[in-house]
Amino acid sequence: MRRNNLLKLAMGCVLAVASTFASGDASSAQPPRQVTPTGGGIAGVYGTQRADQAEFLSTSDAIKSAAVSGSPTLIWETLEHGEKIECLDCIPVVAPLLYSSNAKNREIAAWWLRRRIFGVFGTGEVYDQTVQALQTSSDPLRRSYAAYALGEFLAAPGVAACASAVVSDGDARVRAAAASALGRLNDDGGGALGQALSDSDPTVKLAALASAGRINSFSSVAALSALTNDSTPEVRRRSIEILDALNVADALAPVSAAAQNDADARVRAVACHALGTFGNPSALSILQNLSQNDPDVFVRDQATIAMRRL
Amino acid sequence: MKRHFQALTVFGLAGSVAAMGACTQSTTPQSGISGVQSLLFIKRQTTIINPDKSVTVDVAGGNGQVLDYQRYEPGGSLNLLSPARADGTLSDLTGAFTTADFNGADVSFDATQAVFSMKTDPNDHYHIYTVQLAAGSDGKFEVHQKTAGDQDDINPIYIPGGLIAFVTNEMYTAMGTRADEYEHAREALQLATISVDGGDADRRLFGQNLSHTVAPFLRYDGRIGFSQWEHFASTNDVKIRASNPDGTQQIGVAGEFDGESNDQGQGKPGDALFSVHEMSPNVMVGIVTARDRTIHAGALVKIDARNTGDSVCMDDSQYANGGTVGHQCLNDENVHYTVLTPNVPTGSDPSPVGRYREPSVLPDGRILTSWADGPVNDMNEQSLTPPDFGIYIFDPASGQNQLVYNDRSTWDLNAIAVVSRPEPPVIGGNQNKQDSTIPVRIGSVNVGETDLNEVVSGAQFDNVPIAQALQQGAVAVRVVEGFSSEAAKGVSMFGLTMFEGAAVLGEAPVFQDGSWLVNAPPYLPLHLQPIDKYGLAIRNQQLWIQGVPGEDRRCVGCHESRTGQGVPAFGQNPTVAEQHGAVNFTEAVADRTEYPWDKKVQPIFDANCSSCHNASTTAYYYMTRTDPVTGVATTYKIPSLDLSNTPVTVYYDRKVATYPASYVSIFYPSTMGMMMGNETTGKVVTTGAAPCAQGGLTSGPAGQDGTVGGCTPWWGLPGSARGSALTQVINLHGYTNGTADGSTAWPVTAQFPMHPEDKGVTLSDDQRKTLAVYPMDLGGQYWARQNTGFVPFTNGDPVTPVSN
Repeated sequence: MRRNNLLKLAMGCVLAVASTFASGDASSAQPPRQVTPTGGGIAGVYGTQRADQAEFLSTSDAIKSAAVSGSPTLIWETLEHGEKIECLDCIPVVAPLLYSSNAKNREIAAWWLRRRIFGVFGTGEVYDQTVQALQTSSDPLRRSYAAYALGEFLAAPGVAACASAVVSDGDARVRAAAASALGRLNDDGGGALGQALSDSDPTVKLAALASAGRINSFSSVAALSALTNDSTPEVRRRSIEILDALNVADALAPVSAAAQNDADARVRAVACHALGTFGNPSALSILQNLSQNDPDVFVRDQATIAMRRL
Repeated sequence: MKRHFQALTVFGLAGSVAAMGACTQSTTPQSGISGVQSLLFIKRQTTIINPDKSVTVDVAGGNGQVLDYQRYEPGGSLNLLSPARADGTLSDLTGAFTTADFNGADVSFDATQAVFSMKTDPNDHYHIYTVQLAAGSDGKFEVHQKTAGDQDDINPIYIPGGLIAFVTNEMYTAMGTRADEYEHAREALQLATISVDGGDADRRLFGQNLSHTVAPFLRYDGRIGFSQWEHFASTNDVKIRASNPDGTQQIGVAGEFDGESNDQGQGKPGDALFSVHEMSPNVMVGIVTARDRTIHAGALVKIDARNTGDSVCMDDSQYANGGTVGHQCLNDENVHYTVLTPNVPTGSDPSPVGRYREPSVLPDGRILTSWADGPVNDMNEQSLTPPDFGIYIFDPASGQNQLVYNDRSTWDLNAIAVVSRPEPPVIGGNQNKQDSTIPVRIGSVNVGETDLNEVVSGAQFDNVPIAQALQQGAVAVRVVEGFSSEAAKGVSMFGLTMFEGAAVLGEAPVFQDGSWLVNAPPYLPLHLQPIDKYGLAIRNQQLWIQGVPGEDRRCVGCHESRTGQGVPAFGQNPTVAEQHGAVNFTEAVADRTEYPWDKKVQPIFDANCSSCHNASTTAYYYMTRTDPVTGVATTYKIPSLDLSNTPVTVYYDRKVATYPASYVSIFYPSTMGMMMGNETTGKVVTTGAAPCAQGGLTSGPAGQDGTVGGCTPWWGLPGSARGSALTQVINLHGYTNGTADGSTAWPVTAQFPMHPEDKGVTLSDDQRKTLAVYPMDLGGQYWARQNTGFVPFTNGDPVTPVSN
C-alpha cells in the first residue's frame, strides 16, 4: 500500500533476479554496484529493490465481489490489495461502502476511491456526490459518513464543506464527524474547529479536541481553556491534555483549578501533568499538596513528576 | 457498549501433542522452566460482542495499522504465571483496569518490578506504568503511572541507569509535527526515554526517522536496539539499529545490507525484522516477516551480527571479562541469518504452520515465544476465528513448541521470564536538554575512508571506484533534511519521484585531510551527499541519520569498514575541519534552502530557456495506457523538451497530475524508464520521441526539439545529477578554493558546447546548479514546504507559528 507500490509491482519480475543492496554493499566477492544509475526500471533509476516488497494484487472481479459481500475483512483486504487495480466499474460498487455501518469499510473504501485516477474526483462523480451528501442529505447518519469520507479523501475541497458542517449542521453526529474530518485534513477549517469546542454536544467537543491535537497549527486556545470547566469529565480531561500538548502556559489558572478541585481523579492527574509542562514555579505549592494528599495514587504520581519539572 | 466475547473463552491448558508441519507441541513438565520462578505476560482481547449482538474480531486494528500500536480492545491484562508452567497460578496484576489494553512489558533487572504500556479506556492513550511484582500487605500490586499526555507510549523496556526506553507517537515536538503519511497519514513512532523515578519529568525524545521506529530491546553493552522502518526513495524495509540510551550514536545492527548467504541460501530472509531480543552479545532472535498485515508475527530468525573475522568477538566469555574492549565486534555488513522455523513464511503468505510473535530468551538460552496456528493475518477477522496466540518454549534443535500457557479467548503475548539479570554498563549521556537550538555536530575524519563496493560514472568519472572518487573528488558534503507530507499539506507525492521532501541545510567544505564538520539541527532526519568541485553528488546516502542536541556524531569516513580501525591519518589530530570549527547549518525552518520548482527553477527557465524550448519547438511522445478491465485507453501527450510553464497532464503512480511542461519534460522520461513495458495493470505504449533506453546523452547532443537519435533523453534522474542529461547539456564549471579553475564537469567540445552560452544566453553558475544539480541530486521533487504553505513552529510551540 505504500506509495511506490506501482513501481514495485512494475519491476517485480526484474527484481526477482536482481541483487538486493539496500543502500550499497560492503566489500564482497560480488561486482561493484554502479552508483550512477544508467538503466531502465527502478533498478536503473533508483537502485535495486527487494523482490519481497512486491505484494499480491486483487482482481477487479474480486473487488466487485468483495464490495457486495458485507464481510469487512474481505472488503478491506481486497481493496487494500486493489490499490493498483484500475477498474472503473468497481467504483459504483465500492462507493456505497462510504456509507457502510462498519467504520473500517468506510475507511478502506474512501482510501481506495481516493487513489482512483478516473471516476471519483471529476464533476458529478463520487467526491462531488459525497460533498452533496454532506450538504443536502436528509439522513444525518449519511451526512456524518459523508463528512468522515471527506476527511479520508484528504482532498482540500473537503475543508470548506466540513467546516460548514461543523458549525451549522443540526445533528451532533454530523458535526462530530466533520470535526474529525478536519483533523484528517490537517486544517482548522478557518476557525471551525475552535467553534466546535463550544458545541453543546460533548461528542463534538471530543472530536474537535482530537483534531486540535493533530493538526499542524491550532490557535483557539481560549476555547480550549474554557473546556476545563466543562460538565463532561472526558471533555475536561481531553482539553487539558491538548493544552498540555500545545504548551499553553497561559492556561495556568484554569488548569491549576482543575488539579485541585476537579471531582474526577483522571482530570486532576492530567492537570498535574500539564502544570509540569507549563513549568511555572507558582504551581509548586499546589503540586506539593497534591503529591502528598490527593486520595488517588495516579494524581499523586503525576503531581510528583510535575514537581520535578518545575 | 462493547463487551468481551466470553462465550468463546475456553481456558485451554491442555497439553495436546499435535503434528503441525515442522512445529509440534508438548506441555511444560511439572518442574516448570529451570531457573525461572514465574513468567510475566500480557493478555489482549480480539473478539467483541457489539451492542447489536453482532460479533467482531479485531486482529489488525483497522487496515491502516500496519504496525500494531493503536489496536485497542478492552479487557486485556498484565499477568504473572507462577510457577512458570502450565498448571501455575495466574495473578492478574492490573485487575482494577477492566477496560484496559496493553502493548509491551518488561521485567526490571532485579526482577522485582515490571514496566508496561496500558490504555485504560477508549478515550485514553497508551501510557507507561510500573507495577511491583510482589503483592502488598493488602494483596494488591502497587501500580504507578509514569507518563501522561496526548500521545501513545508503548513497548517499554528497562535500560541501565534507572531508565525506561519506549516508543511514542508524540506530536508537537521541538522539530515540529512528524507523521508517516504512507499508511493513512498516521503519526510515526519514535524512540524516547524516561527515568523510573521521574517519569515524564525526565522525558527525552530521540532523533526522528521519517517512518516508524518500534520494538526497542536492550543490548549487552547497554545500548538500545530497535526496529526501524526505513523509507528513503525506493528503500522500504525494516532494519535493526541501535542507539545509546541518550539517543546518541545511532548505528546499524542488521538489515541494512543483504548479509552473507547462510546455509539456507539466504541473506536477509525477509523485508522486516521485528521483536528482537539478544541471545548473547550481538546474537539475536527475532521475527522476520512482512512489514504489514501480519501483526508482527512471522518466522523465528536468529540474527548473528558478530564480527566473525575476530576470534575474540566469537567468544562470549570475552564480552563479560572485558576482553572485547578495543575490538569491533558488531559487523552489520555481514550478518548471518538463520530462519529457525523454515516452514513459516517470511512474508505475508498464509502459513501452514502458524506464526510466531514476540520471542524472548530464557536463562538457559531457549526461546520463549508466542505462537498461533493458522494463517495469522487480518484474514482471520473475516472468519471470526482470531489467531490464538499462546505461550510456548521453542526448541531450535527439535523444532518443537512446548506449551506453557494458552488462554484460547485471548492473545497471550510478550512473555518474559521473571528472573534477575545483570544490568549492563551505564553509558554516560550528553543529551541533557530537549532544546532544538542546540545543534548536533556531524562530520567525518576522512570522507575518503570507505569500504563500499561501488563505482561512480558520469562527468569526470568513468567506473571509478567510490573510494577513489571520494578521495580525489570530494570537496564538500551536502547536508540534506528530509520531511514527509506533514510539512507539505495536500501533498502525498512530492512530484514525479519516489523521494521525500528535501531541504539543503548547507554544503560543508572537505579539507585537505578529508575531514569536514558541521553543526546541524538536532532531531531531524538527514542524509548526506559528498559533492565534487562541480557541485555534483558523488554518492547519495540512501539512509536517514539523525542526532540529538549536543551530540557529536562524527564518523571515520563515508561508510568506513565496520571492522577496521578508524584512526586519523598521521598528523590529523585534530582534523583540519576541527581546527577551522564546525560550519553552522542551523537556520530556522523558514530560511532553509529548498527548491520549489515553481518558485526557484521555473523563473530561470522562463528568463533564459523557454523562448527556444517551448510547445512550438519541442517534439512529443504519447503515452497510452489501456485499462485492462474496461479497455478504455487514455493518451497523454508529453513534450520532449518544453521548458515553459505550460500545464501538462501526466499519469504517475496511480494518479493523474498536472505540472509545468518544464518539470514534465525533465523528469517524465525517467518515470517512463521505470514503467515502460513492465506495468502489470495496463500496458504502457508510447509513440513519438519516446524516452531513450538509457539515461544520458550517449549518442550525441539533443536537438532543439529535445530529442537525440529520435528519442527523448532522461533529462532529470531523481537522486543523480551526474546521470542526468540536462546536467550534461548545461554542464558545470569547476571551482577550486572558491575560484573557477577553468575545468568543466563534462568536456566542452564542438559537439557538446556549454549551453545555453552557445546560443548567446548566459547563465550564472548559481543558475546552472539551480537548474541542473539541485533538482536532480535532491530527488526530482516539484513540491517543497515553500510552495505548499507550510507554517513552521518556533521552539516547539505550535500555538505561535512563524509565517512563511
